[in-house]
Amino acid sequence: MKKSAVVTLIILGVLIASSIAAIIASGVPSSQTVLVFSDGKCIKRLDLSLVTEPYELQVKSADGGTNTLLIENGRICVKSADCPDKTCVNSGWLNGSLPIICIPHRLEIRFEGSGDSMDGVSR
Amino acid sequence: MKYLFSVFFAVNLIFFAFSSCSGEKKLSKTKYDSMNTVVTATLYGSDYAELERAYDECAKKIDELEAVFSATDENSELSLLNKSETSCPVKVSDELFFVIKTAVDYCKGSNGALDISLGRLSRLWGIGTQNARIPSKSELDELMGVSYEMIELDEKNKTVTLTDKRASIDLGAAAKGYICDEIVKILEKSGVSGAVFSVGGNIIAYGSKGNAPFTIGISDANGQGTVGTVKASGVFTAVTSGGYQRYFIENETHYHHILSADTLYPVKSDIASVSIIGKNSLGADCISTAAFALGFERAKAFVEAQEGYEAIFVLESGEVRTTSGARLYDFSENGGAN
Repeated sequence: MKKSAVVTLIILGVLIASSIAAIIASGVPSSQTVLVFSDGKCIKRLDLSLVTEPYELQVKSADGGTNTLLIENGRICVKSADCPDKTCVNSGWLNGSLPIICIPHRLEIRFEGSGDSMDGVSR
Repeated sequence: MKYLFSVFFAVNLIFFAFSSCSGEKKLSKTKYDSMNTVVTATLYGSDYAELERAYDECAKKIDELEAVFSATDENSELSLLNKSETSCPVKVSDELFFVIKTAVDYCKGSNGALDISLGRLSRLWGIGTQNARIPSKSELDELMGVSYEMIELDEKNKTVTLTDKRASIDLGAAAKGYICDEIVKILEKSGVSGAVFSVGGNIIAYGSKGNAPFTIGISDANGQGTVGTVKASGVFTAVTSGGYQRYFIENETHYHHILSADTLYPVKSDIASVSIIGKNSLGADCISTAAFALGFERAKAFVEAQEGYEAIFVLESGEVRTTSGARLYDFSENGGAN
């Protein structure tokens, strides 16, 4: 085999390996990472797999409202809120496809990359 | 050797083709608006600045249309029309006329299953607000007989006349759909190659994502999960009506926001949630409310008769049913779990 062919094969091999790695990396959702948005801005990024002890996190909205998040190993929910409809509290633990949203306080909690499996949900 | 080389080369080309998809630019936005609905948008295309420009144009259009259709804004064009003197024709904008005209056509087509004249009834019940309550019998008696037939339209002069002071136009079943259709018009003229907007739960999809269709989830019976997905490419819309969207509970009874002109109470339906899919979102919006009110058997026949629309029903029993053409959208059921 010619030396140039060997070099070409090695380069191709590296390219293929890196392509495969890139595809695998982009296809795997980092499903334990949760993003918390307030008024459309990301205010917190949490890796639920790193949580050892359950704890609470208070999020204040621009108009003075409060949502209290409960964060445990692998899961998150809104424990209490002073919004009128309590939809966020009633949503329970965050699941894979739909974010928890508190419209009055403009709060959104969702898994990072959770938009990858579905581009939208009609509801 | 030569053969081996070309195989490697071909394989590598395929990988490059895949990875170029993820090189496509993506813009995600969330907007909270005055109608108290959330608008989420994801746009795809080769030019990031163009995605931002197109999104801004859509956001501006949404704000403009809310100033026309809002039921809560006392100064919206719709509110001013509803406050007009009984039996006096009111000249309205082309877009307000178009939406009222289209909705009234669906009121007629559904024999009143959809009725957009019940604005006062909606306010009396207050469902979805902090003032939700069961109205007294005398309050309801006063509104008995109100119907969309009290809305008179003059196509030539673009005027709307309310012939009874008890009639009040409520476009809750139409405005979001029209907004979605207007978003599509903007996207079609833009350099965006694909986009998905959710306008308070109404989905509009346009184009594609890296030449692949979008995957759109269809709500389950309580709006928290999905019963399955459909594939969307080109212009696509999905609009869901369900008893879980706005409701209150009193004495263990569930009162939802879709009201009957006959009983003046929330309609009794064997449907928990119905999603209409098609290309026109205003139509899908009107049809979804009518279908919910009609109940499954009549709703299925009603939607089958509407050209360009399909339906996915989640029944109170938990069963999932579809119209015959839903398979055209590759509806795949996932058993109700996420």
